[in-house]
Amino acid sequence: MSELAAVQGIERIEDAPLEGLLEAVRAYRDRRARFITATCLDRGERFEILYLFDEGLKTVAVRTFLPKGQRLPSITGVYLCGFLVENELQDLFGIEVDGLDIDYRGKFLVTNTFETPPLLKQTTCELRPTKEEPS
Amino acid sequence: MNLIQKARMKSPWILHFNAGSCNGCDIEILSCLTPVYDIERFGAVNVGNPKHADVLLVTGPVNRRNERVLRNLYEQMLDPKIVVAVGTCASSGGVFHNCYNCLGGVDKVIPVDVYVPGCAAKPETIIEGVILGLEKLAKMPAKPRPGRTSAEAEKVEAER
Amino acid sequence: MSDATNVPFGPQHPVLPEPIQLRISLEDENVLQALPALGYVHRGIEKAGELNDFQQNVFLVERVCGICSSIHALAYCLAVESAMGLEVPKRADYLRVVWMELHRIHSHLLYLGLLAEAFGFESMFMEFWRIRERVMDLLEMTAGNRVIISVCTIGGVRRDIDAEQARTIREELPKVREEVQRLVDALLGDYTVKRRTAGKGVISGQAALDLGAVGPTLRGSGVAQDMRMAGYAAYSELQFQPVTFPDGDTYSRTAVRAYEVFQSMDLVLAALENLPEGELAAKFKGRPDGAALARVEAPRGELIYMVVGNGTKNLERMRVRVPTYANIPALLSVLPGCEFADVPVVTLSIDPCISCTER
Ligand code: SF4
Repeated sequence: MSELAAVQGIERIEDAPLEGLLEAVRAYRDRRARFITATCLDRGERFEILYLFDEGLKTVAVRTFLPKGQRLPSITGVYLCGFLVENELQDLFGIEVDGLDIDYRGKFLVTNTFETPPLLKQTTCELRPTKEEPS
Repeated sequence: MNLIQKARMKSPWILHFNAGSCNGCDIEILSCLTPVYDIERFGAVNVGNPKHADVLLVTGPVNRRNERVLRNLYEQMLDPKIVVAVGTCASSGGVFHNCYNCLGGVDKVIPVDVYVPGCAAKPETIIEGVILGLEKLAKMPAKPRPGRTSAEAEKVEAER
Repeated sequence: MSDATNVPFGPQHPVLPEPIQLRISLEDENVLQALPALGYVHRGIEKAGELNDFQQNVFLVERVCGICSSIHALAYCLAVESAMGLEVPKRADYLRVVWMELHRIHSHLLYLGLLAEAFGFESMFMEFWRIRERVMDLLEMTAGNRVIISVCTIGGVRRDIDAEQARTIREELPKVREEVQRLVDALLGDYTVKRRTAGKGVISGQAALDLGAVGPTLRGSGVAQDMRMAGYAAYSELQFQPVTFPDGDTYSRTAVRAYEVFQSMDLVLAALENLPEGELAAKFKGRPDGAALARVEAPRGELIYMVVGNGTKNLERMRVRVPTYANIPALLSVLPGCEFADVPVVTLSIDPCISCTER
């Protein structure tokens, strides 16, 4: 599976190219939708990122694809509250976000950097240095 | 048992540290303070200052960021002291055994005297754990000079 | 500003039960800016959710947060159920409501107690927690444990509430209600409390929406938004009106929670009244294939789980968005301008749950 076909509970998923992401998000802002959060999935060559919005108790989403190695534009200029989740993307997926308002530079949740960011698919928990069988 | 040891037994001061727990055990520790369980009837007082404390209650599996804080608090406490690991995840990692940011138990970082099982540990169990710890505390010699932690004492010893 | 003083608030602070640090810049007594430093409780549950079996995850997600634990389990189960197209038996839906609302009562009483302690009303803290123990006893009686009750399972619930237990709950709740009423009157009617909370940390309804605030923080600003209105579990069949207060300050947020305690009691009683007979859990075969999102109302606000299955026993991705995560931007926006002495109370007024936030 390389992308989500449909998600139960999300009313509609609108695809936006990376360059058009901010416009798409701004359109929701103009309609006064409440920003919920962003969700990222590791799809091998690229990331699938969903921005979720609430419109009168319905969930709608803007989706974009980010090839690995490219930088993601920050939505904090549109929705300031996005800074938490974008810092999280930096930490856990190793995505670099451009123009982030409050930038923790990858030290938001995790301190010592893992060899690969923890939520990527190739990362396994064997990275943990202490691995004794709990009895 | 000399006077100091007796006083320590009768009035243990407790420091609580949350090392990445899910809050379940923390609210149970707070419940111990409230009228229904009332740990104060054993003379126990909850304090915020490690230098005042005899007992360190730790909840949570200890993660990579608060490991340092925990070690620091432990070092600051004066001897003799006991450490009580409250909850399954503080004892062994529990449900968090395969989380990448967890070290899997308080004893990976500092020595633990009493393990309190349960997820979440019940207030009765926590109180019993503290009492068991106190029995151990009573047997400990009133070691280094007052005002010194064991690490400092060892350093002084080594310099001699 | 050059003469600003930086004060770290936390990670070990007496009013915060959990380690979070707020880096606060002060000018004299006024807060200029506040920034959180997180990571003291980050465990990595989203990753562990991919490594575990999807049925084991129910127990893992309960430990995201111990205070609203079973609500996490409910949200996860709802998401997996909708991904698998499972139909939950009616009785299970009603039983879920009973346990979720009991959980909300205990969580809100806990908050009210902590708030009282934050401005020095120690005996009121003790009183709230004493009453809370009676709710905990009900939870223990029906579910077998006090805080982590593990009642939800994929397809339904794991335990039943029999007639005897239902009677006890019906007798006990009105008594609890009376005592809470007395305390809430004392708390909300008190002159000192009003001085400490009214007009502190004000956020308007529109600003709260723009910052993505949820739950009592949003309803305390006069916006009637509650995920229970969407009618998951049995909420669609029970009478339900969200509680709102207009002022958007600490007092309003507290009042919302106080009145939600009474509302939850009504919901528990109504659910027990209409409890249908039937199965406890639907049997199912197969594994989740496809994605689903579930939104429920936790005590602190809207809680979201998204699961992506791939037909194996492990999930492709489990995403958790917890209420405090959404409320932190609102908190950061109200802190500037506050006096430093109010910081603990205002911080507490969003009822932060850090172990949720960092997972
Ligand atoms: S032992 Fe269980 S309840 Fe206690 S902190 Fe750990 S996970 Fe939470």
